[in-house]
Amino acid sequence: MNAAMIQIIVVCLVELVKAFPAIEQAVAQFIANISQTVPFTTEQLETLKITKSPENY
Amino acid sequence: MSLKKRYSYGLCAILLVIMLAGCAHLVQNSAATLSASKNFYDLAMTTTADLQKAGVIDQAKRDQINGVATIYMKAHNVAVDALITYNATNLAVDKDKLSTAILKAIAAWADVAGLVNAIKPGALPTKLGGGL
Repeated sequence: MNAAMIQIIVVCLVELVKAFPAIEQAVAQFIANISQTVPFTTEQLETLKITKSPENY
Repeated sequence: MSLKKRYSYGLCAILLVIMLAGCAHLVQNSAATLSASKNFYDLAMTTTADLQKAGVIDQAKRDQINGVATIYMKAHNVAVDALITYNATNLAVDKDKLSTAILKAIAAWADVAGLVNAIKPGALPTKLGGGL
Protein backbone atom coordinates (compact mmCIF):
# COMPACT_ATOMS: atom_id res chain seq x y z
CA MET A 1 0.00 0.00 0.00
CA ASN A 2 1.53 3.31 -1.01
CA ALA A 3 1.11 6.79 0.45
CA ALA A 4 -1.49 7.84 -2.13
CA MET A 5 -3.73 4.90 -1.26
CA ILE A 6 -3.45 5.64 2.44
CA GLN A 7 -4.38 9.24 1.75
CA ILE A 8 -7.46 8.14 -0.20
CA ILE A 9 -8.52 5.81 2.63
CA VAL A 10 -8.09 8.57 5.23
CA VAL A 11 -10.10 11.02 3.11
CA CYS A 12 -12.83 8.40 2.65
CA LEU A 13 -12.95 7.75 6.41
CA VAL A 14 -13.16 11.46 7.19
CA GLU A 15 -15.97 11.90 4.64
CA LEU A 16 -17.77 8.87 6.06
CA VAL A 17 -17.64 10.29 9.57
CA LYS A 18 -18.84 13.66 8.26
CA ALA A 19 -21.73 11.99 6.46
CA PHE A 20 -23.05 10.49 9.66
CA PRO A 21 -23.43 13.13 12.38
CA ALA A 22 -23.96 10.43 15.02
CA ILE A 23 -20.50 8.97 14.33
CA GLU A 24 -18.95 12.43 14.35
CA GLN A 25 -20.66 13.19 17.65
CA ALA A 26 -19.54 9.88 19.15
CA VAL A 27 -15.95 10.47 18.10
CA ALA A 28 -16.02 14.03 19.50
CA GLN A 29 -17.51 12.73 22.77
CA PHE A 30 -14.89 10.00 22.96
CA ILE A 31 -12.07 12.47 22.47
CA ALA A 32 -13.62 14.80 25.06
CA ASN A 33 -13.91 11.93 27.55
CA ILE A 34 -10.28 10.98 27.09
CA SER A 35 -9.08 14.54 27.54
CA GLN A 36 -11.19 14.98 30.70
CA THR A 37 -10.06 11.72 32.26
CA VAL A 38 -7.82 12.38 35.23
CA PRO A 39 -6.50 9.32 37.04
CA PHE A 40 -7.26 8.96 40.74
CA THR A 41 -4.61 8.26 43.33
CA THR A 42 -5.24 5.67 46.04
CA GLU A 43 -5.14 8.47 48.62
CA GLN A 44 -7.91 10.32 46.80
CA LEU A 45 -10.08 7.23 46.66
CA GLU A 46 -9.44 6.49 50.34
CA THR A 47 -11.24 9.74 51.19
CA LEU A 48 -14.45 8.19 49.85
CA LYS A 49 -14.56 5.83 52.82
CA ILE A 50 -17.08 6.40 55.60
CA THR A 51 -15.22 6.70 58.88
CA LYS A 52 -17.90 7.99 61.23
CA SER A 53 -20.05 5.20 62.63
CA PRO A 54 -23.84 5.68 63.11
CA GLU A 55 -23.48 5.82 66.91
CA ASN A 56 -21.33 8.94 66.61
CA TYR A 57 -24.07 11.07 65.12
CA MET B 1 9.73 -1.29 9.94
CA SER B 2 7.25 -2.64 7.39
CA LEU B 3 3.97 -0.85 6.75
CA LYS B 4 2.01 -3.91 7.92
CA LYS B 5 3.92 -3.95 11.20
CA ARG B 6 3.39 -0.23 11.61
CA TYR B 7 -0.38 -0.65 11.13
CA SER B 8 -0.44 -3.47 13.68
CA TYR B 9 1.30 -1.29 16.26
CA GLY B 10 -1.06 1.58 15.44
CA LEU B 11 -4.09 -0.66 15.86
CA CYS B 12 -2.77 -1.97 19.18
CA ALA B 13 -2.19 1.59 20.38
CA ILE B 14 -5.75 2.61 19.43
CA LEU B 15 -7.20 -0.46 21.19
CA LEU B 16 -5.11 0.29 24.27
CA VAL B 17 -6.35 3.89 24.37
CA ILE B 18 -9.97 2.71 24.02
CA MET B 19 -9.49 0.13 26.79
CA LEU B 20 -7.82 2.63 29.13
CA ALA B 21 -10.52 5.20 28.42
CA GLY B 22 -13.15 2.57 29.26
CA CYS B 23 -11.44 1.73 32.56
CA ALA B 24 -11.04 5.39 33.48
CA HIS B 25 -14.69 5.99 32.69
CA LEU B 26 -15.77 3.24 35.09
CA VAL B 27 -13.44 4.49 37.82
CA GLN B 28 -14.80 8.04 37.46
CA ASN B 29 -18.43 6.89 37.50
CA SER B 30 -17.83 4.63 40.49
CA ALA B 31 -16.03 7.40 42.37
CA ALA B 32 -18.95 9.76 41.68
CA THR B 33 -21.45 7.16 42.91
CA LEU B 34 -19.47 6.46 46.07
CA SER B 35 -19.02 10.16 46.75
CA ALA B 36 -22.80 10.60 46.56
CA SER B 37 -23.18 7.47 48.69
CA LYS B 38 -21.00 8.96 51.43
CA ASN B 39 -23.04 12.20 51.38
CA PHE B 40 -26.30 10.24 51.54
CA TYR B 41 -25.04 8.34 54.59
CA ASP B 42 -24.17 11.60 56.31
CA LEU B 43 -27.61 12.99 55.48
CA ALA B 44 -29.28 9.82 56.76
CA MET B 45 -27.48 9.85 60.08
CA THR B 46 -27.87 13.60 60.61
CA THR B 47 -31.60 13.27 59.91
CA THR B 48 -31.84 10.32 62.30
CA ALA B 49 -30.01 12.19 65.05
CA ASP B 50 -32.32 15.18 64.57
CA LEU B 51 -35.39 12.95 64.74
CA GLN B 52 -34.17 11.45 68.00
CA LYS B 53 -33.39 14.86 69.48
CA ALA B 54 -36.87 16.04 68.52
CA GLY B 55 -38.37 13.01 70.26
CA VAL B 56 -39.86 11.62 67.07
CA ILE B 57 -38.02 8.31 67.47
CA ASP B 58 -37.02 6.40 70.61
CA GLN B 59 -33.75 4.60 71.35
CA ALA B 60 -35.08 1.28 70.04
CA LYS B 61 -35.85 2.85 66.66
CA ARG B 62 -32.49 4.61 66.68
CA ASP B 63 -30.76 1.28 67.30
CA GLN B 64 -32.68 -0.27 64.42
CA ILE B 65 -31.60 2.53 62.06
CA ASN B 66 -28.03 2.32 63.36
CA GLY B 67 -28.08 -1.39 62.55
CA VAL B 68 -28.99 -0.98 58.88
CA ALA B 69 -26.73 2.08 58.60
CA THR B 70 -23.79 0.02 59.88
CA ILE B 71 -24.49 -2.62 57.22
CA TYR B 72 -24.62 0.16 54.64
CA MET B 73 -21.40 1.75 55.89
CA LYS B 74 -19.57 -1.58 55.64
CA ALA B 75 -20.97 -2.28 52.14
CA HIS B 76 -19.93 1.20 51.04
CA ASN B 77 -16.39 0.79 52.36
CA VAL B 78 -16.07 -2.62 50.70
CA ALA B 79 -17.03 -0.92 47.43
CA VAL B 80 -14.39 1.77 47.99
CA ASP B 81 -11.77 -0.94 48.59
CA ALA B 82 -12.90 -2.67 45.38
CA LEU B 83 -12.58 0.61 43.49
CA ILE B 84 -9.06 1.18 44.85
CA THR B 85 -8.08 -2.31 43.74
CA TYR B 86 -9.61 -1.94 40.26
CA ASN B 87 -8.06 1.50 39.85
CA ALA B 88 -4.67 -0.10 40.45
CA THR B 89 -5.09 -3.30 38.42
CA ASN B 90 -7.67 -2.66 35.66
CA LEU B 91 -8.34 -6.40 35.69
CA ALA B 92 -11.70 -7.79 34.54
CA VAL B 93 -12.02 -9.86 37.71
CA ASP B 94 -11.60 -6.72 39.84
CA LYS B 95 -14.09 -4.88 37.64
CA ASP B 96 -16.68 -7.58 38.43
CA LYS B 97 -15.90 -7.35 42.15
CA LEU B 98 -16.34 -3.57 41.99
CA SER B 99 -19.69 -3.85 40.21
CA THR B 100 -20.93 -6.44 42.71
CA ALA B 101 -19.77 -4.36 45.69
CA ILE B 102 -21.51 -1.23 44.39
CA LEU B 103 -24.72 -3.17 43.76
CA LYS B 104 -24.60 -4.44 47.36
CA ALA B 105 -24.10 -0.88 48.63
CA ILE B 106 -27.07 0.28 46.54
CA ALA B 107 -29.22 -2.51 48.01
CA ALA B 108 -28.10 -1.63 51.54
CA TRP B 109 -28.96 2.03 50.92
CA ALA B 110 -32.54 1.06 50.02
CA ASP B 111 -32.93 -0.40 53.55
CA VAL B 112 -31.64 2.77 55.23
CA ALA B 113 -33.73 5.10 53.06
CA GLY B 114 -36.83 2.93 53.49
CA LEU B 115 -36.55 2.96 57.27
CA VAL B 116 -35.91 6.71 57.63
CA ASN B 117 -38.44 7.72 54.99
CA ALA B 118 -41.09 5.64 56.77
CA ILE B 119 -40.66 8.01 59.72
CA LYS B 120 -40.05 11.20 57.78
CA PRO B 121 -41.34 10.83 54.20
CA GLY B 122 -39.07 12.27 51.54
CA ALA B 123 -36.19 12.88 53.93
CA LEU B 124 -33.77 10.75 51.92
CA PRO B 125 -33.32 9.93 48.23
CA THR B 126 -34.70 6.45 47.70
CA LYS B 127 -32.16 5.46 45.07
CA LEU B 128 -28.43 5.65 45.06
CA GLY B 129 -27.21 6.46 41.52
CA GLY B 130 -25.81 3.45 39.68
CA GLY B 131 -22.97 5.22 37.96
CA LEU B 132 -21.94 2.11 36.16
